[in-house]
Amino acid sequence: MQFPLSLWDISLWLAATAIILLVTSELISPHYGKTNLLIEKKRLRNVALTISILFLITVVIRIYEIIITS
Amino acid sequence: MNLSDRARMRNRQRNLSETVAYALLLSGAIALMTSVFYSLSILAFIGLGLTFWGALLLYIKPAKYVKARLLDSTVISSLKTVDQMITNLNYKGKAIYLPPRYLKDLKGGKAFIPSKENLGIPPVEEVAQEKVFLANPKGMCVTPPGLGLANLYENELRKDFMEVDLNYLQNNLPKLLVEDLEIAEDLEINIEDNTIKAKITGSINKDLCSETKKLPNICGSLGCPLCSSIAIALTRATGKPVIIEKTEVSKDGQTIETSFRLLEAIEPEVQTEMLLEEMDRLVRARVRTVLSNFASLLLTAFGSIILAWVGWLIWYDMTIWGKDIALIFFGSRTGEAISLGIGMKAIHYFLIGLTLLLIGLLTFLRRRRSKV
Repeated sequence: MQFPLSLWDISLWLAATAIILLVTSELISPHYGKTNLLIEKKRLRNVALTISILFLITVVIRIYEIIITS
Repeated sequence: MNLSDRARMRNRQRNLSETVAYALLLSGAIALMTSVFYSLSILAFIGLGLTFWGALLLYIKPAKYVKARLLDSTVISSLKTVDQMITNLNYKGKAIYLPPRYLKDLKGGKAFIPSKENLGIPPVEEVAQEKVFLANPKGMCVTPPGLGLANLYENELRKDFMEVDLNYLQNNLPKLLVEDLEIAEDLEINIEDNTIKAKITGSINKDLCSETKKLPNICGSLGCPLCSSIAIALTRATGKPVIIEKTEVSKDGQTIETSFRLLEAIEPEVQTEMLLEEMDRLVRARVRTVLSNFASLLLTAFGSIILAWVGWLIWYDMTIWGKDIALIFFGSRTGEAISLGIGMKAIHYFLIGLTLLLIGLLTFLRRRRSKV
């Protein structure tokens, strides 16, 4: 019994989620005058950035592994 | 349908988003657990997605919101009261927003409404008595309707407006009002000598603004809460008295254009002494802040240097010597310079570095919070 996803699967999931969240966050930004949407846009932006950073960390791990094995 | 039924229905609507979020969380958790039991990667992806979006829905849900109509009705009565008072007293002058040096509480705000036009600004000692009605010059001092909003701006920007200049306001107020507080869809501030023009588009206060338009002593004099808050910000940033010269609202109420004028304060000798005291106080506060920031910077720098060195050590030991991470951290360093003759290991350095870094960051964050 083990978790069926590897780090690279999670990395892929993080990438897809990060893109969706970043695009959503940008589209509903009050910067474009969208002030009638009742959600915490700042929190959404923070979550999008966090997910993106997590994805980048997985990329760094990947690069590190490539350097070590070569 | 009676009142309790209506309230129940409203609660049910409000709880719908929460129910959906919890349902997503629950089904996600079940899918994740099942995927672990049966080693199904697709189900794990589905579970991960459902759990994440459930949690996200709960997280980005607004804590509380009120309808703009409700907000307007609560404000308009107090504005009407002030308007009635001014009308009954037959005061004709435009409200003058007084700079912080006139006030005991620097986070406070006062607007002086003279009985006649061009009466001038009252002396500091007259305002400091905190009387509502002043004798010389005749007029009244009231708390402006935008004081709360102006203090909110300072809290959100984490900046004291007394420490900034007009350019700072010109660059930061639009972003604050549009992106952070979502009070308006757009704000433009133009500075021309002593006149500052603010153009507010798509304000949530537009209904309130058209209501205050009917109150001659409020609109164009004391101002609606939004204009008043900008006037307070201006008087704090410039240190000069400010008046709202005129306010124009477009027919559809979408655009509000307000002109503010900075007045040159009449400086009696008594005011100079108070000004010097205030400057001294501000300089002391600034020095305290800089010293505290320096201490936190020093701690953070030391912590970062030690951690960077530990990082380099790990890299070196792994790539050159092929050591594993546990051996690098916990292995004995006796005979090496790292040991310092007291049995120091890499883990000790790592912990010291981490502690210094955290203390530095915490000191900095605490300082910023106490400043707010």
